[in-house]
Amino acid sequence: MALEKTGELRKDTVNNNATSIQNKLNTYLPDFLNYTIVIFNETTNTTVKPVLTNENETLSISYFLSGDIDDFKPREVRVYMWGYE
Amino acid sequence: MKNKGQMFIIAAIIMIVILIILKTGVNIPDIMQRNRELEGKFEHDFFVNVVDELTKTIDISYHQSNNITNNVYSFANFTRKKMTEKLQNFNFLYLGVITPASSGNDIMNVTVINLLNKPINATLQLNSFTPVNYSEMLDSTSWTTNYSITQGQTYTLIVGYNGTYSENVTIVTKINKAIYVGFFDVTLTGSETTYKDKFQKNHTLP
Repeated sequence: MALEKTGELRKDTVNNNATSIQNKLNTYLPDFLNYTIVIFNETTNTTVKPVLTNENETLSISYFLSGDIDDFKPREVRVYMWGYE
Repeated sequence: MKNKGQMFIIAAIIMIVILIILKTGVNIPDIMQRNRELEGKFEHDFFVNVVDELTKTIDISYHQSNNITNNVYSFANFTRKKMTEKLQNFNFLYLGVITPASSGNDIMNVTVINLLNKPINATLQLNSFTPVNYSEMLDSTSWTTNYSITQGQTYTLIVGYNGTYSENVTIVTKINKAIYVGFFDVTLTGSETTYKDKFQKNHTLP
């Protein structure tokens, strides 16, 4: 089930729980792929950002969330991926 | 309904795998063409995410009705800042309308948000009343005005700017029910695609 559809992604994001998002994604992603999740507010990362040794070989994708019910908190969930070639 | 979040991420992973396969199986021009197509699809999915979240801002602010428009404004600013960092362009005109729960005569509160990346000469007109004007409404600003209304009536609010843009927004007020109407006009531009959407959301507030 989609994390966003169940509300899990929204809850994990406003709770700043990137580890929980990563654990839930683990079962869906291939083993060869290295990736990590980082959550950002408007100005900075709110969870640990990895040291990327070679940014040219790292891809990132973003997903925006406005918050959760009665908890307005704009956030960007960014997935960094490397080691795919 | 699309699988959001997770499917978005999985789609990106699939894209990468496809790219790896492409690199070993086709010539360079083909790779570049297919890469552009994939980037365009990827960009489109991201833009759908942005517009979905703009509308969800109303849903998550539902119980704090006085904050709805401010939250849409904040999320739109957040999105524009983030998209600018990605060298993408976010253009947004928004109209937020709220009426209280009452009967008889009351006030309709209307806010226009300009995130069009330029100053505009904005105009509002409710039914056949005299239009009101805000000249030189700067980018990243909002303008709030009030109208006297009779609950239970249906109104047409015309929002326009620069004499070239005009949209009608229908507002159906309800006796003893507070309502919120959001009108969205959004254009998102990336390296491969442009996404435009224009729509209205109506909510009866608790």
